[in-house]
Amino acid sequence: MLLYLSKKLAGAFGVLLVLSALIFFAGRGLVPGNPAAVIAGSKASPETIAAIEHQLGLDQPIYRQYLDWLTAAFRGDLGTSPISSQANIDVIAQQAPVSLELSLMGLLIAVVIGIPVGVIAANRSGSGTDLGIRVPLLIVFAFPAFVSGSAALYLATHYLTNLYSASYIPFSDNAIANLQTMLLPALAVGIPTAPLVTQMTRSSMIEVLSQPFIATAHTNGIAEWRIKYVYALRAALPPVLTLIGFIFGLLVGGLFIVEEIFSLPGLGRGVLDSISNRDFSQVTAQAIVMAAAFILGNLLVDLALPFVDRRILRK
Amino acid sequence: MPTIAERLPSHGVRLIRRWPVRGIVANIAVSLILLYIVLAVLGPYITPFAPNQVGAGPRLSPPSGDHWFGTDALGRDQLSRVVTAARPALLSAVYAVTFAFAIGTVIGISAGFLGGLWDGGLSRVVDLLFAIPEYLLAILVIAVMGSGLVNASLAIGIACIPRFARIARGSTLAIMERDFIDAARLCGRGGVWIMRRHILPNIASPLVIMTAINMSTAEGAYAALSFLGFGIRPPEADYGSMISSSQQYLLTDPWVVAFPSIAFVTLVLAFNLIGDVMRDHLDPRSRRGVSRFSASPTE
Repeated sequence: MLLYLSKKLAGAFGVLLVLSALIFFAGRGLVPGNPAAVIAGSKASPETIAAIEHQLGLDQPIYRQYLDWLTAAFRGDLGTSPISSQANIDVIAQQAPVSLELSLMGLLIAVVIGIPVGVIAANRSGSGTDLGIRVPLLIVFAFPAFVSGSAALYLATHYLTNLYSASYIPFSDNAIANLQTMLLPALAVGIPTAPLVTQMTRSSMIEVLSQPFIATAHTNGIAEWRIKYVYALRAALPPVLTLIGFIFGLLVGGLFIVEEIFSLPGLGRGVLDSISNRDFSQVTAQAIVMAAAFILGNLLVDLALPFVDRRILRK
Repeated sequence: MPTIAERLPSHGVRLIRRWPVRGIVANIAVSLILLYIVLAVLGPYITPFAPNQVGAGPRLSPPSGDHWFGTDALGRDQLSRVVTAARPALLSAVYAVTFAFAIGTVIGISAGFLGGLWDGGLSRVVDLLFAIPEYLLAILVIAVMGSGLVNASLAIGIACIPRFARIARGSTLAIMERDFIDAARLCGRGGVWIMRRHILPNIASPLVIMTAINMSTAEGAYAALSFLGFGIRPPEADYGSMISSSQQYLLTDPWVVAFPSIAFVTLVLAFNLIGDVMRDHLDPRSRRGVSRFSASPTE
């Protein structure tokens, strides 16, 4: 277990390190030409530009800039935006909780709907019930977040006016008001993802139900519900868990769209704002936090897997 | 004298002979795709109005005999715009998937076939690409390269490479166990010939399934990027940007959002259905427990 754990940790750390370099250079590529000249404005003298360059460390070679940035990042300093002159970490500390709450709620919704429906579909595979579940899900899956989000917003502002409030309030200030704002966006993120969970649960369950140990359980006279919901479901979970790691990525994509539609002050919208402001420093910081969160999510899935399937440790 | 392999119908011909289009749902899906292809090709010639003609009718008029899908905030005919937008929608998916297929398959097959350091190195790169959320990757690529139909499609294509590379590598490894690969080697065939003539045709099924599935993913991703303003430049018609620019009228005039949404969702749904049918048909493992839904009684 310890070996598995350290292997996964080291892998995640390595990936994050390489990603930080990629994101850093992509961020620098965001501003065509000299960022210092852009910040200084078109009428600035060469001396002013040089001063700004020096202040931002842009007169250093690029690998030097990256190393400086990286060492600062390890100390928890993700730089200061030259556009808004705010510390990036403060901006992110405002935005990240919104996105985190949105993705966790979305994931919860996807799992709570997806797994039970998948199990039911697998138990009656080939029947009318199965068909009745799969076809609507396929249709739901075709609705991307920006269509389902628009539809949800329309319904909310027209028919569910008590349920939805548009202004974002932090969870710690007023939990109920916060949930009022977040529930709908979370549904818009979660529901289109649920079909993926259902499909994976269904096919994994069907696979497991055809295996010999299920037949053995039957011959031993173990109750039907126990076989299906205890033995089979547990054996069917690992691929579903792995899929959840993949879903984190989709949720990040959903963040960009849904935060934009519902005007939530999260990271997704933050990245888009930074890009349109050509704020390379801030977009680098935001992107690295997003990527780190995604890697952490996948790491947690990897660490949860051995608890469901011990055999993974032996590989 | 032709070899036995050469006298057999080519893989492409065999694939068409067992064309997986059986059952009503599959046929509807294929017909829909064909309809969109026709619209994409003929679009500009058959629309009742020029798609970008401002003031073709009154602003925000509801669906009527003159404007079947109503008009948008600038009085442009929505039917014309919805029809015209079929072209960027299909093109983006084709560009992105072709790019991802080409690069991903070459990476996957060569990694699986050559093994060793090459495989180790490429697999790390692919893992790395997989470790970035796809949308974040696509948006960063666009931030650097600039927006537009081709750039957005390429960004999506880059994000989709790992999927193709992984499936190609895995399938290649499975095929490598088979005797005919050794036989070809003993005959003195070179690596490239074996990869092209033996491995590629034998891993075609999972790749075709992957292609079908990714068409819908790419199409959805492009519309999302276009929604965020990274797609084809306005005023050109595009489902994502049409939906985002009409967002503010959603509450008062819902049809301006509804028609592009319906057109777009129908296309994605058709791609999804085809992907599903192909998977059920070509992947023997998932055929167990397959319902009438995809009805493929043969084989």
